[in-house]
Order: sequence, then structure tokens, then C-alpha cells
Amino acid sequence: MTAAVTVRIAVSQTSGEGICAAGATAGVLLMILGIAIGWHRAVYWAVAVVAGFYVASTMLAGAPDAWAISVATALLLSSELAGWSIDSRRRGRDDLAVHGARLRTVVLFLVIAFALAFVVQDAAALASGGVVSAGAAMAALIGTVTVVCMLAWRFGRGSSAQNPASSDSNRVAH
Amino acid sequence: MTLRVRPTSKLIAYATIGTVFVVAGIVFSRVEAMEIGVVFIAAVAIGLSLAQRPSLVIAGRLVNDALHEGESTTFGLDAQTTTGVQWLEMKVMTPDAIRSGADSSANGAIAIARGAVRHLDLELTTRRWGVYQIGPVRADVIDPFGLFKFQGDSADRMTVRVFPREDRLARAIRPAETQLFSGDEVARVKGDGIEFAGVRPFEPGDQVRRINWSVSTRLQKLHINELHPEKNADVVVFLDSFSELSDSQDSTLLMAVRAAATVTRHYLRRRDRVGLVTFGGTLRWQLPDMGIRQAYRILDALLRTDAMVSYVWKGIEVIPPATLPPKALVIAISPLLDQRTVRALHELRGRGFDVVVVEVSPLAFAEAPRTEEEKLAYRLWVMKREGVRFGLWSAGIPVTVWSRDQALVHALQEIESFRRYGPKLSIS
Repeated sequence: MTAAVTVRIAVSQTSGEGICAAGATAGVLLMILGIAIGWHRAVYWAVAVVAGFYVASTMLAGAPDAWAISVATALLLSSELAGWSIDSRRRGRDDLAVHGARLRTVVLFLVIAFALAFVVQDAAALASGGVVSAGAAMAALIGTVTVVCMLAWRFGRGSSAQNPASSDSNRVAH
Repeated sequence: MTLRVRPTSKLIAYATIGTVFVVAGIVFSRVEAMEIGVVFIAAVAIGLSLAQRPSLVIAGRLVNDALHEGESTTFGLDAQTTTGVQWLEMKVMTPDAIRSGADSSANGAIAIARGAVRHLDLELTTRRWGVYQIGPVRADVIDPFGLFKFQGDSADRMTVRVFPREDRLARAIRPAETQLFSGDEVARVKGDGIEFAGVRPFEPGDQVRRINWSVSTRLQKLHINELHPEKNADVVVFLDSFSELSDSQDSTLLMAVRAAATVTRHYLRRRDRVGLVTFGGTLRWQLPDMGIRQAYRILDALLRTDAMVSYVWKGIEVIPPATLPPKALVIAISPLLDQRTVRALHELRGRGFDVVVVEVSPLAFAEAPRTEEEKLAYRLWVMKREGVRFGLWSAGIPVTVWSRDQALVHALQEIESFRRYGPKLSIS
């Protein structure tokens, strides 16, 4: 994912594309190193480096990038997948349910992040106040999504509490 | 179980990236930066809103708390939660001498549904003898979004006793003297028994059933068979714990304790009385006795053996007299690194004890010399050791060298060879 973002930086028609592409490549290498040695922090720094050079390349280009939503989502996804890879290699054999929960988390992150990034882009394009108003709108939106998630979580837990059979599925007789 | 909460590096990183890029987007009026920041801020916001403190109870149970070196046991773990956990990692704290199975399911992350009990088995393999504490069990619960880590330790701590590995000896050192009680050792004296000792002319009072009719017919005079009785012996294991040399795998003291356990078990199996003297920084002893209870008494005493540095001059006068019964066979197991031990062995021999020395060779544990000076010092050290050995031989004490790659029974056989043919001297 980060490599794809790097390619995106490299193919953008900007005057400083070489520097940005080189910086992003360094970020990709840092991420590979982080995954190889199992160091979470290196992965997060790598994502920040790639994202920084991506923003720099768009600033040098001047025009807004239509792929920004995909880039933002891809960076989050690469961070999540890299963390997943490190965690699963660090231990012994994990339960399938652990990976299932992690997959659900990644999907939830991506869906919500993609939707919010889409809203940000549209709000920035439509709002007369530019990104500042878009930022304020985003804060309200994130707050709303957070409250909805919290309510959904609590409601889901209340439902499963009324169904004891579902909670006993993991019980092992001994 | 009380769980301490702390944020993960992921929470810190996502919040930092999100904040920095949102601010950068506002400052530079770049929607791309804003989008990247929003994506990470959104992830943090969702994770924070859905995180909850888990409730977890962990109970550990050791299937077998008495083992021999190299044996394995199962550590059972029961984890119960009332809130449900989607990412639980458990680690049993074990000392270096006990290795936990790498492919055990308890090493991976598990998920437990709300109200469920999850049982896991962890295989523990012992590496060296001693008394160890297993536990506590450390639990790491990571929230579903990986933003918080809840960490806690269970209060369970179990003690496991690892007994030294014992070799089975077909035969060991034959005592010079036997005691009064019946046993498996053929006495050197003649009396009632089944081992043939010789033939002598019949004397009034001799039992008729002992008459050797073949010899009597040939010599035209009554002769009877003489027999050796089977008696037991008193054996004292003299363990030198003044000093030790070691590497990452083994040490002279570990080897010495294994040898002591092997010898003890061998003689107790033969209904001999066995005692123990641990001669070192701390003096410990076990009065001679026989039977399986004595075996466990000695093993328990051996488990507490450790090399303790001491500069106090000690002789055999500190050893309680009852520990060393008359005519006892004293088997000293020592690396012969400390002069106090050598002196004590000479004194024991001087008091008439049948002393034999099993020298646990420290040469394999010494670093190989590299420079010329080191090579010279090493040679001098080896020669000095040979001098010590020769001094013991001169006093009538058989010495056998037992190295780590040699079976103990072979080393013990050299004692018999010494008694029969004298020492095999080698000058290096």
C-alpha cells in the first residue's frame, strides 16, 4: 500500500518529484524493516514519512489530488496490516477468533475512514471557507460517528447478554 | 485479577499522525493532509469510544510438582472473563532452568467469549535440578482496536522440585569394609553366606551340610566350604560445594550433584546405609540411614546445594562425628579446586576412613588459553592439579577423573582398577 502511494508520488507531475519519491521510498524501506524486525513504531513512523512526502508532493503540484481519499485509506490499511503481520509472527498459534476480530476492526476502520475522507473532500470543495470549515464539519461528523459506534456497541452487548447460549460457545469441558 | 491499563504505541502514533496532519491541512490549506489526518483521528476516536476495561480471572495448576531433570510437566491455565476478551496473551513466568514449550497454544493470542472459561495447557520442560517457582501468570489483554493494553499478574505461584538426573549404575565402588546387617555386599570376612570363599579342614562344631564331599573324598579327610556373608555397608557421600566452574550449559556443581544422586540411589537400592555431607561455604549433613525415605531426604538436601564463597578455613572437625560412622566408605565428589577440601580428604584418610575421590573435571569449563602467557598458566594449573592428585594417591586415596562427556560408571570403574593395580600415572 505504501509502495503504491510512493508510485503515486513518483508519477505526479511536480518539480520536486524526485525528492518526494526518494523520501517516500525511504519510508517504504523503513516499513519493510519494521515488519522484518517486528518493530511497531518503525511502521508508524514509516506511514508518517510516506504521508508527509505525499502531502509535500501535492503542495508542489499545486492542484488538489483526486486520489487523496484512496491514499489516506491505503496508508491506514498498510499500517493496520503491518501491525497485524508483526503481532501474528511474534507469538505462537493464535485463535482464529482473534484474527476474525482483527479483520472486523480493519474493515470497520477502513469503511469509516473512507467515508469520512470522502466527506472531507466534498466539504472542502463545496464549503466557501475551504479546509477550515471542512475541518469543523469533520469534527462534528467524527463526534457523531463515535457516539453512534458507542451506542451500537452497548446495544450489541446488551443483546448478547440476553442470550446465554451464545456466550457459552467457547466453553471447554474439563 | 487487577489489570493495569496503558496506551499502546499505536494509540500514540495514530493520535500524533492525525493531529499533525489535520493541523498541517488547516495551516497549509491542503485537503490531502486533512484527509490523512481525519482518517487516523477517526480510527482513534472509534477505538476510544468502544474500549472497555476487561474482567479476567486466571487460575494455574501444575500437574506434577516433582520431576527429574529433562522431564516435562503440564501447566494448566483456566481463564475466565465476564466481559469477554478478543485478544488475550498469557505468559507463565518461569526461571531459566525451566523451558516452556514453544508450540504450545498458550503462547498464542486467544479470544474468550463473555462468561466462558478457557482451558489451556502449557508444557514445561526442566533443564536443571533445583527448587523453582512457577508463576505468576502474566496476562496481556489488548482491546479490539489495539489502542490499549491491560496487563495483570495472577497471584498463583507454584513450587516445583526438580531432582537431579540419575544414571543407573550396574556396579559402583566396592566398600573395603562391611557392617553387621545383611545386605548385597559380599564381605571380605568369612561366615554364613552363599558366596564361595575357600575350603578348609573340618573342625568340631562345623555344620555337616557345609562338607565338601568331593574334596573330602579325594584327600581322605573331611573338608568344609567356607563362605563370604552378604552384608551391608555404610557409605557417606562427601560433596564439595566450595567452588564451581561453569559454562552456559553445565557446571562442576551440577555434575557433582547428579553424581551424588546417582551414587546415593545405587547404594540405597542395595540396602546400604547412606549419608551425605555437603562440605562448602555452608555445611550440611544427613546422617546415614537406609530406605526410600533416606533417598528423598538426601535428594532434598542436594536440591538446596549451592556454591557459596567462603574464606573461612574449615576442616573435618566441623563435621558431626555421627555423620561419619566407623568403617564407612567415603565417596568424595569434588572438582578439587579448593585446598580445604583436599586437606579434609587427607584428614579423613588419616583417621582410617576408606576414602575415594571422584574428581569432576573442571578442565572442560575453563576457557581455552589464547596467548602464550595464558597457555603457560594453563599448563601450570594442570600440573598443579596433577600434583594434588598424586598427593591423594600417595596417601592411598584412589582418584578418578570424571569429565562431562564420560559416563559416571566408567569413572567409578577406575577406582576398582586403582585398588587392584595401583594408579595409572601420566606425566604431561
